[in-house]
Amino acid sequence: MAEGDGPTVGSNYLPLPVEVFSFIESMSTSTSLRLFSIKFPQSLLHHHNHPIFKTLVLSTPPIIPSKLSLLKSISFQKLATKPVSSSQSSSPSVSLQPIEELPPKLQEIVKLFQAVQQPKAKYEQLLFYGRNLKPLDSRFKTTENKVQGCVSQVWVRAYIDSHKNVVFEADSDSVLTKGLAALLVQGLSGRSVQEILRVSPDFVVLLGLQQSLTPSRNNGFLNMLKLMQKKALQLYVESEKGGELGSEVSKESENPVESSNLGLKSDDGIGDSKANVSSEVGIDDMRSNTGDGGVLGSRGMRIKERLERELKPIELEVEDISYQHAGHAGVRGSDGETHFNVKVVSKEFEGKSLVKRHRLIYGLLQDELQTGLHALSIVAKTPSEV
Amino acid sequence: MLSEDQPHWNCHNYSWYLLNFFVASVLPIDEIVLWAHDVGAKVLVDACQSVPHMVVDVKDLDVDFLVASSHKMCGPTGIGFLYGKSELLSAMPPFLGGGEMISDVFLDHSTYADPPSRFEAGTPAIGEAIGLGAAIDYLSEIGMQKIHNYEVDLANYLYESLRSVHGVRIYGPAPSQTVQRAALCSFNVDDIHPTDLATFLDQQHGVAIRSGHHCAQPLHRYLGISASARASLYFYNTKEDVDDFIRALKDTINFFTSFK
Repeated sequence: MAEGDGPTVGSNYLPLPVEVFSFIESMSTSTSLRLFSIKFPQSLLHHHNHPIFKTLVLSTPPIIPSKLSLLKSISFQKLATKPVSSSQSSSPSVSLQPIEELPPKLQEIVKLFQAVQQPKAKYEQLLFYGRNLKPLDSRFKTTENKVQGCVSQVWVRAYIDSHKNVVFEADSDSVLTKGLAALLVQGLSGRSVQEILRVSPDFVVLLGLQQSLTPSRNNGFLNMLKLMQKKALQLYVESEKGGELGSEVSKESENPVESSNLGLKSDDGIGDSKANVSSEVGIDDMRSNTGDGGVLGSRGMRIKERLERELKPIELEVEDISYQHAGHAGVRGSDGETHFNVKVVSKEFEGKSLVKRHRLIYGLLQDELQTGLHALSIVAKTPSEV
Repeated sequence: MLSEDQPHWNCHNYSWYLLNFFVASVLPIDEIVLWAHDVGAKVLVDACQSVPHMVVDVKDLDVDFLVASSHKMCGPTGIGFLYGKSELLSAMPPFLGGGEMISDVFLDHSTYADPPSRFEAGTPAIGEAIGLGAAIDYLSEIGMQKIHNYEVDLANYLYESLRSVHGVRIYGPAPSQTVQRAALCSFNVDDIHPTDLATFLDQQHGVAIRSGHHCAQPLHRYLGISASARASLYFYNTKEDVDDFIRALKDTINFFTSFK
């Protein structure tokens, strides 16, 4: 190595960029790590008029030690990097939901926050909303109503009114979070389920509060919204059933229901229960409960039926998680049903590698993938692996 | 724990922390080690919070193992160290296989290198290790006793200043002749959630404190609180920093109380 071999002209010393270190090491047979510095005279570099960290072109270096002569033809170019914008979140990205798509009350709130420039004033505004929030009765402060991912405690309660609109109530032990909850309650309460579900979580950027809120608080805000949307959906589904008593959960291929307030209903014209492998694919666009802990639309049902028919699974779970990706560009323009979790336990997978199993499933769902299904998260096991 | 009586212990290994990062108290590790050794047990001390702040002499304490992390002592993240008595380490089998930790390798078995290589499989975190070395040199040059004395002084100043703020409740023992606190205060303010405090202090005043559970949920439960705030200092902080913090805290408290 060139330790100590280098020229020591004057006291000018410039450390080489890291790229040169690793190149030299590979030339040497020694495996131990040594730190060394190449001493270049300043004059050489000034002569070439290149700042050292940008490019290092050694075209005629008579004073460079012989071992480094190989570097003659090497040049290091600084990679073009995106300029760091000072206010990254001030200009919303193109894929943000336009403000007009938000429920009117929420639009008002967004505009109000945009009009307030000072962060401190935004806080005051937030606290003002929180103070005017109708208090939540303590009997509604249950685990089901608690928002996950919040450093403070937040509860959200939802019920449906006579006009089939969802009414929200919320509370928190932290006043800033209470303000956030109040924003959502004011903006979304009394609206229809569809309107609530259409709200994309990235409208929080429009509020301009993001700079004033730490990342964990933002997550809490997103989770609050998600919980409200989830509750709205559950209420909708329940109200569609109209209180009709559902049949019992079939034990064969269903896993235990995670949400206790979902009832079950057998579909007319399909068969007794979801567990039956039915060759009749003629379903209309009905929403049905599946016991997968969620509600499946028509695509979800088609996926389920296809997999049931072709793989004859002993266990099958299809979960629509599109709402988690509501902000994606890939989702824009669709009406949901773009992302699914799929868990299949089937003998068909025996002897097949993980890649083959996934390919098999993707192959079966080609039609869906070409008509709007965006992504699948797959767990594929054989009965013996469970 | 601080009584003269020896507790009856049944297990073989004990893991203790030297300095409590929540209530700022220091445990009598030397006594604990004595009692443990009496019953034939080994002691591992988690000194992540103490090595950076005070003199820790493993020979004096006679601990069997001691661990500390680099990023708490001015070093880079992603690395720490384990100290262990040689005879104990030599008697232990490796936990991870890979390059450098082997002696001879056969198709059906291998023999292993002596410690420390035995426990350092694969290519190590070279950059991080060098960084940690630099941090250790830096601290040693200043001198741990000097750092400790400075921090005790600062700790008292923080405690007294914080106590003077109306509505503040500090957790842990008060500093005294016999009790030395670490340079931190976990506290709550009446009727204001710690996360509100922390957010406002950060955004409006540029003062960073921590809020939440501080990785001590059971302790919070025991104290009957859901969360707390914590202001902690290191030897690079000054009394002026403490003054700034108190000023900012008072302003923050005013802001939130004016909204009640």
